[in-house]
Amino acid sequence: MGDFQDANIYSIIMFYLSAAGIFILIVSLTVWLAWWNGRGPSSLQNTLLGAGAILGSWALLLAVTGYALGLQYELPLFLLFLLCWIWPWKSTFADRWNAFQSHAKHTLRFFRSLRGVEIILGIYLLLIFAFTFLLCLAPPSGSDYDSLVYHLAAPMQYLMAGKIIALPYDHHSFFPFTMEMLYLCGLQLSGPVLAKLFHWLMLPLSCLTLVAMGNLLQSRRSGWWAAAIFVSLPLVLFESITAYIDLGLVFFALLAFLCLFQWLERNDIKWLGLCGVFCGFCLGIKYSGVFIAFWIGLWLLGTMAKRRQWRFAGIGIFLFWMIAASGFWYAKNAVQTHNPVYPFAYSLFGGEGWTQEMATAYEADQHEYGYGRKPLDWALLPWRVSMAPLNDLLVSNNGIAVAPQPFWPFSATPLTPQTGIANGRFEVMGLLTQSLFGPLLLALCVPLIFIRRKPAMVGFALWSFLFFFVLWGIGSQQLRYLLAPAALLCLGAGWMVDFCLQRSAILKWTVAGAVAISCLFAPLYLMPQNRAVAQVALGKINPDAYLRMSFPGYDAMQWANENTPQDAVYAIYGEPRCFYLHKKYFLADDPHNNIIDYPRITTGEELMAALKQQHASYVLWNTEPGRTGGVFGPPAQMQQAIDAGLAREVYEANGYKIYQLE
Amino acid sequence: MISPKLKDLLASAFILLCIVCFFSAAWVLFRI
Repeated sequence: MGDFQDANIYSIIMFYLSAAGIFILIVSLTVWLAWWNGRGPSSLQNTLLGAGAILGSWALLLAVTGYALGLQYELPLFLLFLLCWIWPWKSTFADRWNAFQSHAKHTLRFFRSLRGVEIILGIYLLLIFAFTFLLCLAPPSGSDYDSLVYHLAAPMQYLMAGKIIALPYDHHSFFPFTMEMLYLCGLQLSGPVLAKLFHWLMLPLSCLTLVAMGNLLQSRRSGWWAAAIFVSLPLVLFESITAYIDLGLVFFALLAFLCLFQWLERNDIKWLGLCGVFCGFCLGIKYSGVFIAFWIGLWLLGTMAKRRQWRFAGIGIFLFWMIAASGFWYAKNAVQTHNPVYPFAYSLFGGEGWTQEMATAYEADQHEYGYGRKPLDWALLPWRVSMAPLNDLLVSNNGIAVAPQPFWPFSATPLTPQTGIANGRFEVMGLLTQSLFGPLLLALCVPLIFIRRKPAMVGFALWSFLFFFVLWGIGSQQLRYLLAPAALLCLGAGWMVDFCLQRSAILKWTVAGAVAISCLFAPLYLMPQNRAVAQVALGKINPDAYLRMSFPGYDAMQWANENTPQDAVYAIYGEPRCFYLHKKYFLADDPHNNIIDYPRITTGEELMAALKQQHASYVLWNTEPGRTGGVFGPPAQMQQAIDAGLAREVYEANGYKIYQLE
Repeated sequence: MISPKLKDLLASAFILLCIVCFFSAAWVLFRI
């Protein structure tokens, strides 16, 4: 990112153009390989299943070899990977070439066959994709919290180390990292913009998967409506311009559901294998992918029981591929920490570097998100999810207050009196207004429940959402954790729209108006909150100036990158967002980990000795975490060490200080 | 039995309620 400092505007735009160019090349290659290998009759399905399998398997391969051998063999590995996908297994090159040509022709014919409302929805989707793509062309700011803490920061540390290493200072780095492996490639080939584009890619892929699922329904338009409704959820658009992972989970979960639908319809065992692969990738993206795999497994067993056709080979193939696609992440954790789902399930597995107190505090923190857990809170949960953040706290110049709630059935009292914490918050207070689902899913899916003759897939979508919604309600009520089931629910909502448009005039116009206003609201709502981002993408603001403006810690980290030795090791206090610090570092705050035994430290000398034992040569301290968006801070002994001259201040600006340890 | 017309009316009323509640409350909230 230091490249931006002295760069003129043309070189900055060229930098983004190169990131966009590399991205287009990667996507073209992926589609080419998907068509080359596509053996099913549907070109759309072959493209999506192929893209999912190619991206997921590359991420897994990179992770396994990066962990076992290091990243230096990446190029020969990539060539081998490419050869494996090009090789015409059980076929000939001529057949593969014919398959490629046939898919290309079918795709062209598919676009030509679009009529009426499908064209309008297609253009709407294209505009949304173009708009969000543009907003990706800016480096992640301080608001992209988790990106800077670990989604991008951990891959950057892997690149600097030349292999995938354990980062015991941050428990997040033990999460399954399938998407982060793609971000690693993005950082390696270009920078954080390319990494963000990999997450953006999951938006069009998810929409196309909804279209493919809609094709399995009687009306093709249902899928197009479902895709339009999905992108009309403001949270989806906000997610698509960050390097988070939730849209990756959405895409792979939708692929797993698509394969399940195909198996339910065709009873062909190959679909169970594919379903297992994509369930495995869900498990490899996020721990919560286990619920998707569990639900699909449950449905699969239930269907076999109902049909009285037990296919044990099918169950075996499903489980085998699921474990093959995800097992590495859990085995790695078991080896490194003795807990496959580190840091969760501590009471069951334990885990090195974690304690019962930390596990309890972590669980309490996860439960702080949400809408309360009293009976009335439960009853109103669907309504509140749809209306958030209107029932949330309001941040203004006068401080924090309860937002006005003038409309029935809102009350004027805080909704979570037992915790006093904001409702439905999106990680940090600054992102509160981005945490919006909007009313459309509730508005369409409650009447949908009462329609008797609906396709089995739509019924499945409703039951699935209920299952995930109950789990979500019991667990951590963060809205983005609901995205994958919400995407499936969009399929039901899309079918509902198509159904309503064939009914009486009043219902037709009400539904058309509701969908139209929601589809317009999402991009219009996104725009003012990302004005600065758009200006960076259009070359009007220098990315370096933008980062100094939007992330208070950026300047300190740039200073550290340029003015301290290559082998400097940083102990960090009060600031977990360290992606822009291109040095070895560890989060030294007590609540993050227990690599330093703080209860035993009583003096400044002991603190400095403990930091040096971790090879620290510098301390970076965010002294105003409340103002700058950081969290935690050093113990009182830090000031003693400074007063005693054991740590010499070498930098101070913007609330951030850097000390050199003497 | 509820007539199809009444069903449509009820569904429309619910959809309108959700949309009006959200956007009018949003209008009040974001104007402040």
